Amino acid sequence: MTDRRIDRREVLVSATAGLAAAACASKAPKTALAKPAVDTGRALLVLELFGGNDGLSTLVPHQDDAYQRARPTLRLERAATLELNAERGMHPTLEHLHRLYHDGRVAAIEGVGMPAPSYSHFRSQEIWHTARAEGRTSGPGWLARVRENAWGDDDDRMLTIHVGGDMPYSLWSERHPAVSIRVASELEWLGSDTQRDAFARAADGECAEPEPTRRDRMLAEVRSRLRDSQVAAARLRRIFDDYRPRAEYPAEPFAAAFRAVAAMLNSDLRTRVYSVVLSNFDTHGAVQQAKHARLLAQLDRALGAFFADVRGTAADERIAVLAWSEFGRRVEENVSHGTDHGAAGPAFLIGSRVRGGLHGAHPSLTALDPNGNLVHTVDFRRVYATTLESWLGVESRDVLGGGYEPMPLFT
Amino acid sequence: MSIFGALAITCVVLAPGASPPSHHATSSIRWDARAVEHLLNRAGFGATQSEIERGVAMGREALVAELVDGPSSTSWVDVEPTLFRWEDFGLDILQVTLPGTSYYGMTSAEQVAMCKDSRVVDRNQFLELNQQWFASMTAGADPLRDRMTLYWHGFFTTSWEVVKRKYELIRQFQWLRREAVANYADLLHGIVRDPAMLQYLDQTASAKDHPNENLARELFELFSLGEGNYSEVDIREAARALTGNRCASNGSFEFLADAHDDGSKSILGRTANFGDRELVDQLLAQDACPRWIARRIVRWIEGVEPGEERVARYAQLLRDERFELRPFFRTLFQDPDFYREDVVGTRVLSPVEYLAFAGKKLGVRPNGHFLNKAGVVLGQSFYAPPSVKGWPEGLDWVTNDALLRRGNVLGAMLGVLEVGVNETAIADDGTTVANAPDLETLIRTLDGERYEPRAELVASLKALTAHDDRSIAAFLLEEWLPSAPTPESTRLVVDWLAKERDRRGMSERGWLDDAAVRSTMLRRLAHLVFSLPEAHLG
Repeated sequence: MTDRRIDRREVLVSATAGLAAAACASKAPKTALAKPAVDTGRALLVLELFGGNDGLSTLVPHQDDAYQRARPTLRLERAATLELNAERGMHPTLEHLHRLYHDGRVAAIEGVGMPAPSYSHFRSQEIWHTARAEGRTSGPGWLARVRENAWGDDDDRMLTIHVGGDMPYSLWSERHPAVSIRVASELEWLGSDTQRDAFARAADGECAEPEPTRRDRMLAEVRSRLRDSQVAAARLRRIFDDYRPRAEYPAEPFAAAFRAVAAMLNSDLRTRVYSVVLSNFDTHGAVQQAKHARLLAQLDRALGAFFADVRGTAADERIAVLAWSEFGRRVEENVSHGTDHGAAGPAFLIGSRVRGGLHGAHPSLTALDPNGNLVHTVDFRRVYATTLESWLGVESRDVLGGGYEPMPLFT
Repeated sequence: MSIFGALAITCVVLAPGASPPSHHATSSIRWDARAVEHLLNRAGFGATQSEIERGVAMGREALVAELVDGPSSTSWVDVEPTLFRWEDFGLDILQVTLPGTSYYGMTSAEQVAMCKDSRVVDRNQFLELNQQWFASMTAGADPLRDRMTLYWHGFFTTSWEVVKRKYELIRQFQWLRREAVANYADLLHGIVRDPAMLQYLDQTASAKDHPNENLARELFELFSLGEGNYSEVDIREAARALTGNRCASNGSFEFLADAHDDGSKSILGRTANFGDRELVDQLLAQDACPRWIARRIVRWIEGVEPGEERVARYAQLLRDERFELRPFFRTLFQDPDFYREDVVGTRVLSPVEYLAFAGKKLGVRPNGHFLNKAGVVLGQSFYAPPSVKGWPEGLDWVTNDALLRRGNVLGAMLGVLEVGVNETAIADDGTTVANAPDLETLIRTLDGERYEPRAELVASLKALTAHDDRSIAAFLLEEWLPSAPTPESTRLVVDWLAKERDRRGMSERGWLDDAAVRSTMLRRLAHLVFSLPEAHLG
């Protein structure tokens, strides 16, 4: 493959044809949002830490001499970390995560990565998003495959929801595109009453049949997305407005996304997969230490508020969080006191039914790959497979394009 | 009278898949209003009906020549940016406090005030540039240059989030705009010495004993070859070749011979004592390079993935012309494939394009603060791409609430939305008072400025031969939409017009003669029309 957007575009263009054809066949909105039955099925919140999180500063191997040598300025001493055991500490900003860990609610999986890792953010991210080495050329994202394989007959558009900016490719699906929303306050087209009556018709349109042009297909797709957003927006706005959290969320957009997920978990939505992204982990430069600490603190505040909020509610039994980053960072710090793109790093599962503790195995800091990176001890698809089989109850082989050995990550 | 009339006009006569060489096939382009509209949509930021009429009369070759060659004189002035030296305030280049100093702990109140003031001035000069650029896009004196500046800005991405001082960014922007339709090879040579890029991709501290690979990697993957055309070893070796290229504290490029690795390197099959010049020449010599550039530009302009035959043809053109861009565009804009049915009216506008199209058609020139905030709300802000890979393209822009959001931003720009505290309501003059915190700051940037329909638009409306709702709706839809209106949208607008007139007790012609009602209704009509699905496809 040459470029992810090329492949994406080709897929999207053909998707347009498919969707438009569907829109042509049925005049009724395909959103099918009006299914109020409460579903107590388990849900997964996939939390992507984009940019390459420095795993060695997240789960710190402070007793390893090689770590001390490789990180002369970035290293964290044992006393500065939050203790997990005699050899491993958490970054000092991860106070809530640390507490959850000692409550047995956090599985910290070390050495997660892939064979033949890519050091390109986008390439590596694509591999994580598709669970396949070929990336987007292999087809839809892994969560989209879950959507199609496991719940393909279910028309509920709200089964997969991304909260935040750009939707990750993992959720992109030709047949069942995920709902992607930003903040709650703007889910409305604002105009006078007569304007709004008129705008409510903006997504209506006849399809040119039998041979729609590309223009017809693009228009049909834009209308379809507009219609979806009009219907979904009205419903979601009510859910967010009516929600009364049991804990206080920090006043920052990232935490607001977690508040939104909590609100949806406590609503009549039947959503099975939520997605949230925290970006900016690409810490090459001199500000790594401060920047990384700020990001992890932000992450920790949001997670802390979220679990305080859902704890003691039915939602607590229903949700597990899977946090990952497309790669860890180079073992040796660079001259700017930052770190360059690396390979393996930790992933986390958090929830009431998670088997807490350290899992996997920390890669050797001396037996590195030729580029000076950690060699993975756990293929990331084993984490996916376990989450699918043990948590969501979804058969993983077809989703992941192969069988991957499960791990004891859930009780 | 609308120059499109009531007929749907297509401009494609070639069979699908047919793509003969352009010099044989130019006669197959039907030069009509839709063709001119399409060209001006893609080579600029849309057009008013009078500009379209002018283009039809000029003829294809003359209009293409005008777009590609640009005007003989320009009113654009590169304003010399002010350089702030944050170290004078105890801050380093990334505005991190230096050892032993503290921004908030500065000894004198004057120092603190001076620093804060400088940050405001630094930010404002950036917003002024944004405003200058947007004004140029909407004025349309040099449309292809402004459009390609948007392209290169997204191609050679740099972000103010990393480059904390605006001086280097403003200089980079001015350079990109000067060179936007000149020569790709010069751009590639320039970008590895561009002070903002050197900071953005962490080249500033790269040294021979510890080369940083970030710039080298993106140089291969995004700027010249595309993935799959190089190895990890090539990147490591290229990083060595780039060592020594730095941004000096005065914001200009400097080469530090001491930091440069002058040993032998092996890059893409050639072993030599590579420096940055030789490295870029080696990239330009690869077959993958013109193919990558041709594919990216054609795809961006047309909004459709080009076929392999066309990629090869345009790559060859770049090679033959030594990466000169004007021959490339001259050929593209006279290529029947550029005017084919799959391309016309099918490209999703990006947020900046959407705002520029609306600004141009309506004659609105918002201030820099508004544009900056609108960019944030819509997901495309000046010098803040989502990643080094630049902006999304096509339907990737149409995430679920994106269209609702665009409508609201436009409503703010048109002055039909105002900030309220409690709930959404309609004021006496027809302004919607909204309780939307995210729009509040956006609307506040307008400082009471409000769109008034252009005098020429009012004159054209009054001069229409018929003033029934249908004729007025048809005229406005052609005037404002970047592509042909659908019957559904026409009906929707006609119905709204009739209903709104009735509500106000106005006759079909009467509302045009009442200045206050006319102003309110045209603003609301514009808000509605620019929120239609067709408004996003140009």
